[in-house]
Amino acid sequence: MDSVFSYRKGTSFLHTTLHPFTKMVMFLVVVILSGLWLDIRYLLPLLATGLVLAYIARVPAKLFLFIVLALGLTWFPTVRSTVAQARPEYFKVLDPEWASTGILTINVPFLGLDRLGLTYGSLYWLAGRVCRFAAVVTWGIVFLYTTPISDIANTLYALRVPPSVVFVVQITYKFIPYMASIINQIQDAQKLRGWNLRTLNLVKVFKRSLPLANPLMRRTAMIVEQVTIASQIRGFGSGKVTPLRDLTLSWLDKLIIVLFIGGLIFAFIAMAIWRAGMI
Amino acid sequence: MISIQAKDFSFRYLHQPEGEKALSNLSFEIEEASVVGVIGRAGAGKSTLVKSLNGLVPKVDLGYQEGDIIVDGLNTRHYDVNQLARHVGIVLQNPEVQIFSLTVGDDVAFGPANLGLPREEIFRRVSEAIQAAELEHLVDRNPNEISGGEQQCLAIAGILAMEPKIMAFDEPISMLDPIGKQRVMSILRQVTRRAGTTSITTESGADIEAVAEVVDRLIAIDQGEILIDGDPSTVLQDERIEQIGVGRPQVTELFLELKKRGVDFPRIPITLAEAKQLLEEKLRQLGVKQLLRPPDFCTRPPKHFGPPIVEVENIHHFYNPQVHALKGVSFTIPERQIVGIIGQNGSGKTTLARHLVGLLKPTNKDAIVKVKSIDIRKLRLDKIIRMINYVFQNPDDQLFAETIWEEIAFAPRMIDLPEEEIKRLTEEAMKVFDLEPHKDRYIFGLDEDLKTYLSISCILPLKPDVLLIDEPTTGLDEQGEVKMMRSLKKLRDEMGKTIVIITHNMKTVGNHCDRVLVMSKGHLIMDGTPREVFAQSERLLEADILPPQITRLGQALASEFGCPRDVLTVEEMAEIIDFSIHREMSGA
Repeated sequence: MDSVFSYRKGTSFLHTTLHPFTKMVMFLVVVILSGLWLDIRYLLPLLATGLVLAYIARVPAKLFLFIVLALGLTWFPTVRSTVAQARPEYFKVLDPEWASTGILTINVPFLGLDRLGLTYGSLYWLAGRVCRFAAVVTWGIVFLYTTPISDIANTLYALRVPPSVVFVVQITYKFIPYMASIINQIQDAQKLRGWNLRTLNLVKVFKRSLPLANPLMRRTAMIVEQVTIASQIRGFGSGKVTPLRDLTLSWLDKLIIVLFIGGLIFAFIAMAIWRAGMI
Repeated sequence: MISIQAKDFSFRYLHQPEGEKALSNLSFEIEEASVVGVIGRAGAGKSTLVKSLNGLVPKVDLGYQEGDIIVDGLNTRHYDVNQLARHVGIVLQNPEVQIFSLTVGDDVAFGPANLGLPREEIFRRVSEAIQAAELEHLVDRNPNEISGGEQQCLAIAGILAMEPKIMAFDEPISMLDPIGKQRVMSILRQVTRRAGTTSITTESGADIEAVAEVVDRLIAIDQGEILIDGDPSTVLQDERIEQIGVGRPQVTELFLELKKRGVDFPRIPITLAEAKQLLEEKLRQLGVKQLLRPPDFCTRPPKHFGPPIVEVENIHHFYNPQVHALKGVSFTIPERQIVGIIGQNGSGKTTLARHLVGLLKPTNKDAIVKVKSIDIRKLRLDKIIRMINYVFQNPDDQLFAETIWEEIAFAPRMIDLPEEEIKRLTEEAMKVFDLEPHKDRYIFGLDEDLKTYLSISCILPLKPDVLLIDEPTTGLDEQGEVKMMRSLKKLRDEMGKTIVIITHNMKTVGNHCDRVLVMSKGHLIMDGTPREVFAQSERLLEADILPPQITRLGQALASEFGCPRDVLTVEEMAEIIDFSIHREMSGA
């Protein structure tokens, strides 16, 4: 089954032409820019470019459900941060008066919370946050979908990244889908014994999580032990690892890397001088 | 030249109480280029022995070691695991945890690359290992997309590429389909013969026939001690083999049975080829022209089953547009039948089972999945599980409570039954596998056989009419298998349950099932009694299945002696040979 972490063979230029190192640079630049920028006007083009690349790479649309799922799971911190953006002094680029125009606000005169609620500015911030998350995930999915882990590992080895770090990347990538299938299996096995989490009683929720948590912990411990053993058997940790491939970049790779790194430097300068990307 | 030497070697795991040992005073020597089988029931100490060969025990699995193990001239006490990895390679039971890379070629290179070898040397080793493991056609494939047998061959290739002098295999074929088993064992043998490597392979019993085909020597261990050590034929004839529950190859059982009946042979065979040759010689010598069933021999009489309880029609299932896991599967199962579902890894058996209990829905609208004439596609899972239920292969996927009692009482608690009823149902479920004496035992540290019995007992309080059980005999020794199948028959005979088992164990199917469904690549390709199905061995190859060894012996004797092609059990074959010899001698 497809997952956000699975590579699939394809014929797009992202699969066949670009070097993993180039894709790594592109992804890292997007992650850094998304971390810096707050303004949706800057973040939207990043997301749009990611979506175009996803279309070119023929990434299955259902993988993007992960964005919805992750946003759904993080609704509480998102809402908490959004309602905390109601004060005008938070906005340095947007018109503070417009930004602090309240839609639904309250004053909390204790714990230093002051004004909380929804304003035009907080909604603008929220839109930027969602867009930033979607952009990073989209580029991440495109990167993982078009780049085999062995190519990523070899590139990291060629870049002289310590073998233990590369191994952790490799193992995480390989075992996340495996662990996901084990979680599904445990959940199904318990469902067949009548287990469910349908209760609002927190004590019951805790008790009912044990049939999932205990087997999962046991299986995880077993897998960690087996992987440790299997890696040691294969000589992991012996010392210097030989990279299987060289880092040879085509002119297109070099051009893209220069453009992305140049773009990143320009974004830093623009942010420092003109507050570009800030709100 | 001595390749492995154990000198008074004992080992106790950290968690074991003082006085208890996983391995106790082992002393043996293994010659270079030999293939040695270490047999014993689950928990006998086989895996500990294998792990001690490259220092995993005690350096990774911590504990207390006494005595020494010398491998390839190195005392394992003085070297790290990754240093010993150049001398001793280990292939584990589960191929999935041994594969790290995204292509077959890269995965084979993982070990040599870790050793920091020059790239040319790595490529040479990879190429040779891939050739030896017969994986040339899969070099660029993703290991997740190849069969279980191929994955295990990949794990072997990964170890071969490190060019160790000693290779140890820890139950390497227990999770594979019959053809996968045959392939892995044949590669094991070839590699040892070609490269002069010393090999050790462990076995709990279910695959003793495959192991007997390749070993030069057998060491039987029980409770951490060496019980018997010698040439395979001598060890497998020893009566103590029954005591440790490993079992013998069916052909060995047959010749021992014939010996009891007064038919003498120059030796007792342990392989199919040897058995065929000995029997042919004997039959020719006695002038036996034809092997016939005695007229009064009662092949399993047709049973009378109830009306259909499971009805399946035209199930298709797509996991994604490329993966068409079930391709129009249809069948019905009558009440009180014991059905075996067999097929290669990835043939769709588990996907089918998941449909039968409502965990998956067919992807086509016109499919029918009915249990007790009710379309379960429209039912909630909590209703379905009281009509039909499914036990997964790995008990560790479900066991979580403190004690056996609590574990069994969990299901009736979840459906809010009154405490009295929970107590009654739990006690009733414990009786099926005689679990009452263990009811207060902690789940952690239970033996494999108890875990398997427990995982089935856990769903019995829900009173499902149909039980689907995935690999019920995996991890059980021969006595455990007998107990399991006897208990399942009791459930059928006394409680009217319908039993469906998914298995790779053809002996279990031949001995205990009323009917077999054969799956291959998402299709149901055969459906009949074990006799009907196993008689068509060529067709079975489509599903990577080999009939039980005794059936294959009958088929090997069919052309010259007209032996029935559908012999199912050792007793039946012994009857046929005994009857035919006496018939010839009496001139009838």
